Amino acid sequence: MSAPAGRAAAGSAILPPRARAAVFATRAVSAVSRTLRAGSGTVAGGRAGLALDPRLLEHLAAGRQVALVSGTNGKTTTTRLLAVAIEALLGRAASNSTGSNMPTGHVTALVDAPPGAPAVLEVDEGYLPLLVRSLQPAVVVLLNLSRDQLDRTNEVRMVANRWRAALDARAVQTDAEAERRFRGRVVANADDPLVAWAAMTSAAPVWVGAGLSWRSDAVGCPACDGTLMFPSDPGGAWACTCGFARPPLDVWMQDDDVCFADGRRMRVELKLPGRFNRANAAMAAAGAEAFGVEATEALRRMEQVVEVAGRFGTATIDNKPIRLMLAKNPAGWRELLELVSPVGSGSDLARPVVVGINARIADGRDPSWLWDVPFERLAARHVVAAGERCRDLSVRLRYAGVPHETISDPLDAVRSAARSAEPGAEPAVDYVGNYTAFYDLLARAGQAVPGLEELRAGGSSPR
Amino acid sequence: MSLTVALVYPELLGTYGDRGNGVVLAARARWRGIDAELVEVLAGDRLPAADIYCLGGGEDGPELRASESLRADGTLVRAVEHGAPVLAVCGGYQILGRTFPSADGRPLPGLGLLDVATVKGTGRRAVGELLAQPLPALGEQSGATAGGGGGWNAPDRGTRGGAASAGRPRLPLPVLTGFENHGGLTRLGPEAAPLARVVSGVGNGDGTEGALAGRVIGTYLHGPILARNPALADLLLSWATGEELAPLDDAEEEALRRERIAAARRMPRWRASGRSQSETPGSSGTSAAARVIDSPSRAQTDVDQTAGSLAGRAGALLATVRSVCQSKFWGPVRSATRSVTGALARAASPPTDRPGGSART
Repeated sequence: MSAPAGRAAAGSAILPPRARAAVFATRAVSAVSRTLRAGSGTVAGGRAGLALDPRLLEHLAAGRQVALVSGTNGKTTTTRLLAVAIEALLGRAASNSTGSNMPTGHVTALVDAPPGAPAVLEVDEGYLPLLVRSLQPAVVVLLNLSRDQLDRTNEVRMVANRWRAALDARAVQTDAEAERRFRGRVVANADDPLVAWAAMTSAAPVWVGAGLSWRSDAVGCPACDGTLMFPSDPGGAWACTCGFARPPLDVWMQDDDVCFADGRRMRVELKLPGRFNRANAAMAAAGAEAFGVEATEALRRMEQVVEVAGRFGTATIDNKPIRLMLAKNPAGWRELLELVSPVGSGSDLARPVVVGINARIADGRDPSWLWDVPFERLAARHVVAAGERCRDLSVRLRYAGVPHETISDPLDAVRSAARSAEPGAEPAVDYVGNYTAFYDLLARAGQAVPGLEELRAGGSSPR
Repeated sequence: MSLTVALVYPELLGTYGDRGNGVVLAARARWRGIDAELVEVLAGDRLPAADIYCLGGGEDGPELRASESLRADGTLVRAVEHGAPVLAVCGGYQILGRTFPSADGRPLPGLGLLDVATVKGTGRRAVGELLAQPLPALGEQSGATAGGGGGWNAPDRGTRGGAASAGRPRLPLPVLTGFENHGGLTRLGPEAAPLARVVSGVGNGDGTEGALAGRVIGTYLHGPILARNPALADLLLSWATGEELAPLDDAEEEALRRERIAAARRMPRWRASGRSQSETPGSSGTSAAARVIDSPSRAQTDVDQTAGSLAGRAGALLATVRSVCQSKFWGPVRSATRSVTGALARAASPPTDRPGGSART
């Protein structure tokens, strides 16, 4: 798989003067922002650059091989895994590693990279069509689509349709349209019908059986509005009476192995926990191969990743190890509950869980989704409800039959939980926050994460 | 005593956590010693005979499918004729009306259980905290209208309504709090009473919120509404059981209510100013046109707000200049400059209620 011909031929582009000025402004403002510690500069710098040249992304992408990663859950992790593999085997890559996944963040990531270096970018679901048009990526990795940020009004079905239009390799009417048509390769999660719908009209998509933990947003057939039939087996193939069905897989997971249709099979032992991270790695491996890096080689590199922008890492608070996790919507929670509420062992059950919930703009201002999370599974655990919307959570936990206390400040909540943890337990406490609540705790605990201030702010909410 | 709560088509009408309404009803019944069962009815399955039916909000396509399935099934209409309480939220509210808009704005026939008609609005979606004062009709409905068979669609109501007058709740119900998220504009006909008067937010779009006919309640309030308004949950339960219900310790719900009511009271000013740009408040529904407009604008906003914003350019220029001046011994000046840049950044940032416009990064 090589870079799209048009782009590669453009060579290491000499930027037009306006773009060069924009690059200078991006760097200057980013530097200032960092110096002033107002943030890591990822947003402010990108803003300044785009203000001076709205087509800056196109110019910065010229002569580069670009991979985009989008979806509701797993974007940041998959982007990180893919970038690690590509960097190890192709040299330095540009990547928005802190999850600044809108054009401002992409500008900053590209400006920082040497000319011609490959780019691996996480993209917000709503921006994917725009980024596909302006960056002409070689590879687009599509993970999943489910409800997130309810107040944002983007129905997942509509997002799927917009993805499909942007990736469609068929019918081209005019020269201008042909010029902008997507020529890269889509790596798609075939287990998610909405993702399959979006990818199926692209040129030779790579189908990965990455699983689907949340089906409620996918039961309506995107092709005919009928009802999709899902097998009880989580790895089984869905189908509709209209003929729309899960495509045959090119890559799938079996136990701890990642399997390829050509017969390659590899045991993957990630340091990142959970089934969902193995699925992210399988997606990233298929993405790496489409990018020109052999998939099993890529997986070897991914095994070494221990945390992603603070997620899955460990913080030390009051000398106790705190396991850090991020879950921001029902699908993400379903996956994390596999980790947080394992059946069985006594020491796991004794470990307190602190759940931090905010509802700033970056989180979605409506936390009603808490009622789509099966918190009932935490009934045997000691739970502390924290965050700015801890009262919504406490009511949810009451109706889930989960004994809990409510402490708004996430650091105070973790400290209180740590006091009740078993001596010597490791980790002593599980902390699961949604987006800004997660980074709030890291900041309060003095944990260093690049770009932390901006991640926390995430578009400050009206107060 | 036993009680069945039916969650109608949660996979079609369950986008906004509204399944919680069924969870709340079943739990509050059980806490009072009533053997309550929550039944999830998937599209394609036949609706069971139930004591309370709950419908939530959904997207356009699923909304249409739900209304078609409910009409073909017929159970819900018959249950209402026999006095069964129904709580329908957002998209569920719209399809219980006479008409609701399709994705492209055509009026589609609803189930006609509420004398309301919903049209696609032309302004921006109503998204935000909604506070509404229940109207007295809500309390009286339990005995008089529902039991007496005076409803517009039910000449011959069953026996349940009469029994329920015993369970008439004390009036008035406390203020309703929730989160609205819809584009549709709902007009009430003569046979539906408004559920509440809007204190802050949009609701139906004419100063009223929701509708009531017999024991059918339609509302735009998510949250879910019954988690935030346990008194309304108990009203539905008293309608269904015909009994006076023992009070519960709702300290956690009360704490949540205080917080959300205070938050809603802080918001009217900016919400009102956001709306004034369009003559029709809220609107355009759980319907797609607004979203079609919204979505590209979301993608463009990031560029617009930088390219178009003079404040942004001024801030960038100022920041560049400052970078030149920056040196180590200026340390003490930093805190001051930080607050200035902070203020500039806030000034340059987009209106906070623009859907999708704000940076997630």
